Amino acid sequence: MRLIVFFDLPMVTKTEKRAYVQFRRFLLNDGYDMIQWSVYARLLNGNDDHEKHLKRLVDSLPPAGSIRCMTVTEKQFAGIKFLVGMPLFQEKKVPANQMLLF
Amino acid sequence: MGWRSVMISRPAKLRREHYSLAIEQEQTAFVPFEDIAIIVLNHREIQLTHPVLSACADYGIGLYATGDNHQPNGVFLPFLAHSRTTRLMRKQMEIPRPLAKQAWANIVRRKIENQTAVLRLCGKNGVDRLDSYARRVRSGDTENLEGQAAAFYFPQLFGQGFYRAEERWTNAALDYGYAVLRGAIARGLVAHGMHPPIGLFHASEQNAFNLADDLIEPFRPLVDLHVAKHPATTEGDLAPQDKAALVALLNVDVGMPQGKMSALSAIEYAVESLARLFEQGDSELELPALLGLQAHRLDC
Repeated sequence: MRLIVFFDLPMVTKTEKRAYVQFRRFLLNDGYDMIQWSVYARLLNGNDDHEKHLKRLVDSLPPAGSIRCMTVTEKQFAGIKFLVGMPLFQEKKVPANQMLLF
Repeated sequence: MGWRSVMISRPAKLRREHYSLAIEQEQTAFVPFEDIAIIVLNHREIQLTHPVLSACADYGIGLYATGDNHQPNGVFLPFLAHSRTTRLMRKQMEIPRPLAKQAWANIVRRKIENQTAVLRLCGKNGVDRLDSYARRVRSGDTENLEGQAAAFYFPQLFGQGFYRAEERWTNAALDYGYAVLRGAIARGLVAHGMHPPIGLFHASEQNAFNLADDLIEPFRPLVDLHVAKHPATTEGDLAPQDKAALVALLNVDVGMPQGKMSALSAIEYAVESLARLFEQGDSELELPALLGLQAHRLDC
């Protein structure tokens, strides 16, 4: 399954920018891939994994802004239609397979 | 606990970026270290940085090197990662002989049962004879039924005139699959604080993986089954897709007392039961039962 995080964060003051940078860095460090600007997704293997990463996410939220998250099954995620544009290299190379070949 | 196997068979540069493994080829892909269980380096032109090695140790990832013949010839293991490693080493050395012998009998019995399952799944003869070998295993396997079973089983599976020592595709494939399993087991042993050189039954002075060689026995028939069902596509050497399929066997479902799970998870449980053997003298090892070649479905 995939945990998808959508965010809008205020970027006016220096503190706000810093909070944004820290949150985005957390997402990258925790293994999320950017699928679009302000939309990040992480692949999860089962419910334990889901709980673990959701807890980490909740513990790392910035103080202000709007952040939503949604969990979808792999089948639903794979059903995403590309109306304009193409899948990223990362999406094609690192799918839900247990075995990755490079 | 990681669940992904990463196999690199083309020139690549590996480096650490944040908490991910960055794989640089024409473009760069990222895999979080947290998700990785195993990395196989299978090309001469792979470069990797020290932070990658250090991350492999931190996250308990089994990193395999392959030799000139493309067989895995080395595995990188964390150094004394477990907090009770010295205590377990003492327990390992002082294990009472009767206990070790019972555990070894369990292992041999399950190995022969799995070999029986291979013959049955491949529609070969000799199932009854192997069954009776399995029933006759006694503490310590003093009659060496393991050897007798193997001598009977391999020619049954691969045809009369088959020798394990012979240089041919089938043997190369078996060796490759076994080496991958052995590394995964060695990694599990180290992660649970055990010392792979100190075995239950295997006791060679020249073998650094005696304990892994004990525990691997019931898992071996998984490789046998795969090789029997997927015979050589090329003459001689293994093709890259053959090797990838052998590494992917770690994701095949096996039966464990807790239920159906991937071989990689089963190794984890088997290793834990081995730790209980040393710590509490519990001789009931949890060992895998061969089900077939169905790959584990991710829970997602």
